[in-house]
Amino acid sequence: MDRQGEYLELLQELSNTPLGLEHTITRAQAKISSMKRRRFVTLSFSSLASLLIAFVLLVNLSVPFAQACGRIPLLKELTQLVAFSPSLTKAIENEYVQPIEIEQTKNGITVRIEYVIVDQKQLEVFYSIDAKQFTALEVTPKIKAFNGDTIDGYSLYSSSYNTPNKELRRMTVDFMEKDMPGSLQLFLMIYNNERHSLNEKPVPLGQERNALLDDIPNIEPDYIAEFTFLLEFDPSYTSQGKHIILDKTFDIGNQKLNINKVEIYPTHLRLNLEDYTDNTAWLKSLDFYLEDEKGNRFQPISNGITGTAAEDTPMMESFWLESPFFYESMELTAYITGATWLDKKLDKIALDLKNTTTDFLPEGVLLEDVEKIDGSWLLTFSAREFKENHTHQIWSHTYYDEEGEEYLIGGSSTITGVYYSEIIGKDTEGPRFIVKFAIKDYPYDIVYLSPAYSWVVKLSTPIKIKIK
Amino acid sequence: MDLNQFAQRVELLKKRLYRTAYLYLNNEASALEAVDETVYKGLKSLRKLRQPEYFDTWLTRILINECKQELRRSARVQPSDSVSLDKSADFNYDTLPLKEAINKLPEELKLVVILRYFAGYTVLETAANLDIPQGTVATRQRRALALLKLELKEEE
Repeated sequence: MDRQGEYLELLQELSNTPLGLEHTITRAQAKISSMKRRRFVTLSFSSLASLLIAFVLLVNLSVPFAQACGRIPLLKELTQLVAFSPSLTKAIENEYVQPIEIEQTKNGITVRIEYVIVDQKQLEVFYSIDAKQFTALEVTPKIKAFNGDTIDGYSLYSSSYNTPNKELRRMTVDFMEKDMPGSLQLFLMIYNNERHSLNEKPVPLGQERNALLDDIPNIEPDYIAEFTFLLEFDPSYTSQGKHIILDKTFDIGNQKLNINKVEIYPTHLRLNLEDYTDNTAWLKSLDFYLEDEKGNRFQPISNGITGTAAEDTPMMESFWLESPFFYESMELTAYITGATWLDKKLDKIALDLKNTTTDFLPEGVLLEDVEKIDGSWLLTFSAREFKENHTHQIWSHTYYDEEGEEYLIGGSSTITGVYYSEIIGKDTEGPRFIVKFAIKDYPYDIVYLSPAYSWVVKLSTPIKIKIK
Repeated sequence: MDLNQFAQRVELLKKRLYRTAYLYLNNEASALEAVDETVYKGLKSLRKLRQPEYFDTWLTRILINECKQELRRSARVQPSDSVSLDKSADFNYDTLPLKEAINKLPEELKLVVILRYFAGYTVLETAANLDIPQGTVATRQRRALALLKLELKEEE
């Protein structure tokens, strides 16, 4: 065949496009929904120590808990599991628990769904796994609508790593905008994590460099059993939620914010804000608490998501607190003590990798080192601890080249303050932590990073705003 | 531009995008992935598109970047097949099947020939897609066709 014939044949081949091309828009929309879910939430996990202390106090001091113990089977275990969460503990004291009690066995593995705590926006599922031949079973959970359709606009996290067989585990589903459906399908894919849990050790100090530069493939586990449960909720639970519409404007850090709505659910409270177009910065976090007339104080939520961002701007617009739902509070006042801001003009900052320089860094952050290793760059920053022994996010997970192409930071290592002098080779005034990450196979000298914030405002006198 | 308009424009453009990616990456699965990633990135940054009349150029540029990135990624596993521009005159492209020969063209020529003769872009559109002058497109397509021993119309 001559070249012309080959050309026509190749055109013919190219005119037959694969079926996979048909649904490219649907896939793009689904990916955006899933990225939003991942990107626009911030999480908070209580320490084991506070969990134990809270539980001991609760068991010893709480009369309603002791009374409720007798009425709901396994309640002691359930309360122990949620002792770190004042909202969930209060829900259980008020018998705000829907028993489910459904069980399935497959491949020698039994999964039993015991209870749910559910309201208009949040679902807590309590379940157990048992198997004779496995001792380190882990779960990948998923939810779908009752008819199998995909659901958007929710976050799901499971926090039962290393739970022994038969003990209660829990997972949390948070709906952002939509309300809780009347029923949904819960998929639990079970895998054996024995090999990993035995061998899992923290990366030794000094070796995090190799771990960051290596390409660690994200391997899907081999699932040994998959379960589907249909969860049907009592409408008297899923309808629970009260809204207070407000219009309260306040200034903080030369920026203006408006509290427009407070949503109170049994499991949490949401305080929703709007900003003003004249603001020069996006709100990234708000330090505040609520107090009622009896002196009960409601702090940022310990159970999962602490805030969500706007869909179209980097502003964090909804902040979640422990719930006053069961306290019958007549009055509620917000006390705002600080805020973290991202300058609108500094949402991307250029870093000269070759000369280890940058024009701007977030408040309290230092660029400690840039090292070029085989076409990749290893970046080391340190940051002042805003709260003792607490680290915070300095950069978002994406970076850009000069053409605006977006890349994802594969992983980062955070080393807390006690090792600062040893690693950086100098002393520090006040506690600092170290953040290292790699920019892999990057042929350019300039990289653009997205700061998580620009500056922090701490108020010596809180701003008081009456909610009701 | 809203989602419906975006979907309609992608519908009209996606076969061109696929053909470009398929010939550039020489692999159906990688081409589909590149088109998917392009549509995702386009949809994600739709708000940044200030002049909707340049939609096709904008999305094609995203695709080209995506393909280049994919090639860089795969080059770590398997080095690129392209012959460099300075050695291309000595390479016998006419001994290879057309698809393979296109794949071995120097980067600069390969993109021009794919966009012009397989994805169906005009000289003007190809110049905009690659951000090069129309004269450069004309020179590169002439050289590519000569190397491939392919006799096609050079003008619009």
